[in-house]
Amino acid sequence: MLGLGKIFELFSNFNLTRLEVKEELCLNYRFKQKVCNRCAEVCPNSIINVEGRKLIVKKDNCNSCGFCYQVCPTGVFNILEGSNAKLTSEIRNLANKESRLKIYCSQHKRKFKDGLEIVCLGRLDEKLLLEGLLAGATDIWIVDTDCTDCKMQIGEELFKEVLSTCQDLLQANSIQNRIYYTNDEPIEEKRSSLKFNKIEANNSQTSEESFNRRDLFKVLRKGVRQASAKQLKDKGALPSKQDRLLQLIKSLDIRSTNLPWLEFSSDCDFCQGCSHLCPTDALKVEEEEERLTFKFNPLFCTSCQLCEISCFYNAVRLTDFKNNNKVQLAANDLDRHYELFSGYKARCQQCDDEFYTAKNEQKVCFNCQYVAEVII
Amino acid sequence: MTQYYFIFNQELCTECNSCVIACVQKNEEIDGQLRRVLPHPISISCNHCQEPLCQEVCPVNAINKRPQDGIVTVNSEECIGCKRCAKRCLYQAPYFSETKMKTYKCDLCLDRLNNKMLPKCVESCLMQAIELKQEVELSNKEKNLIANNSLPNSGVIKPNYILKKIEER
Repeated sequence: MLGLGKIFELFSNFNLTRLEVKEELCLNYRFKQKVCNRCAEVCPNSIINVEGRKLIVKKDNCNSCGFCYQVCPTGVFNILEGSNAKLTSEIRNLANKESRLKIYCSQHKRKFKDGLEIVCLGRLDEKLLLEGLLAGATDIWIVDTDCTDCKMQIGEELFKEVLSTCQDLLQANSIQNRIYYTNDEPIEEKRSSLKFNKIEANNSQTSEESFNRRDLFKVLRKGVRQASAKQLKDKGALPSKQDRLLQLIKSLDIRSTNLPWLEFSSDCDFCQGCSHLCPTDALKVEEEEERLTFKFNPLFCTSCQLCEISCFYNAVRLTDFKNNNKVQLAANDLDRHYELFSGYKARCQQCDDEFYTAKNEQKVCFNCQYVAEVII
Repeated sequence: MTQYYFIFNQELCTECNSCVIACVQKNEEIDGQLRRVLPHPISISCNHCQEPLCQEVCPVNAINKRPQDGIVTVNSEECIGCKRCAKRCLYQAPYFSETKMKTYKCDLCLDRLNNKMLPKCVESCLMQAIELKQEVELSNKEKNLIANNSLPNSGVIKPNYILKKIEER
């Protein structure tokens, strides 16, 4: 017999889970010393708990507010009810109909008809807002409400962060304020140029160059192969949230300056713990002849700080990207890793072992140094 | 906590190397030896030190000293093969496997201990020169030997290894 219980289980799973949890991506799981409980702090129903290295989620009571999704740096959570894809399509539909996009939360007393209703404003992320503008809306009005008595108060703070990054991104492409967060309906500005649509149109033209059918499939197949090869590696997968935003930034060609950056000091002994722990492969090591190089791509970095915490000598530090002349970042530099720090092979005079160091005149390896200091 | 102790009796050892062979046979997949017989003779593997240096230096905290019985184990899923522990251990107990690019070390045959069997090396010793005892089973004489352990640097890291020397003739 096929097992009635199994079928029932399948059904109940199908109905009840509003939340998908990938525990293997959680930072607490990746490294013992990291204690990250941002999701637990943010959850309004307190259904998420971090106990030691385990993430305990009672999925049944989830109201799919999406705060955990918003806050997690590595993309452990995925909202299934009112998913991103669904919201995106709704936003696109609305933006096609009207020039102004209204977004309001479901807790709001003032009722609107023509607009997008979401659980809380904290659900919105950068991609959703920019998607609306790209699809044809001239501006977005997000209805500001009184959040003081709401149990999902944290959503307001989350949304304000999203809004500020969004407006930073938009500054590069338009002078006009396109996202309003006010109580009353804002007056429409007259010089509303549809710069966004033009850019998108340009992009689509270049990608749809005159292919015949067979050529097109050839091109597509190559892409699919590359994508599947990337996914085969267990790490190096970008969190979907960041991936979506990056694709969008790519189409707009916005150069951002608020990117994370790493600084190494010469105390590093090249154990490569940091690069092994990095969940998105932002930091990796390449070995050439007699030389080890740390390479870093700030677009992949989620500022989870695992490298900083794991370093034995405190040789890695997470800083803000400084706009120096040497490194010019473009948003479409996804495949480009910048050289950060390199060390050369040397031979220890005491134990005759090979080791890597960044210091010029180091003759004794790190291990022999330590032994000389600690043990008689 | 009941710490396990290796007790090695130099007087009985005939340097037959059967402990090494048994250990290699047990850990075939590692492709290397976790126990060695030094010329004196001393048969030595991991001493499951009280303050393990290997645990101290691991950058990803893959090495653990189990609180219930003091066995030091490597979690091979977390190990990144940086060789730090193998270099820093004063008794060269961790073995870095070139084929698997990971470090392995003696875990007192945990699977056998769970079934109340002795580790392979202890079982295989022809002269019963190697013994494994828990802290509670030690005699007064053996406790004395722990206090002035004759292994090098034993004052710093406190290896749980009792060496019964041949009395000087």
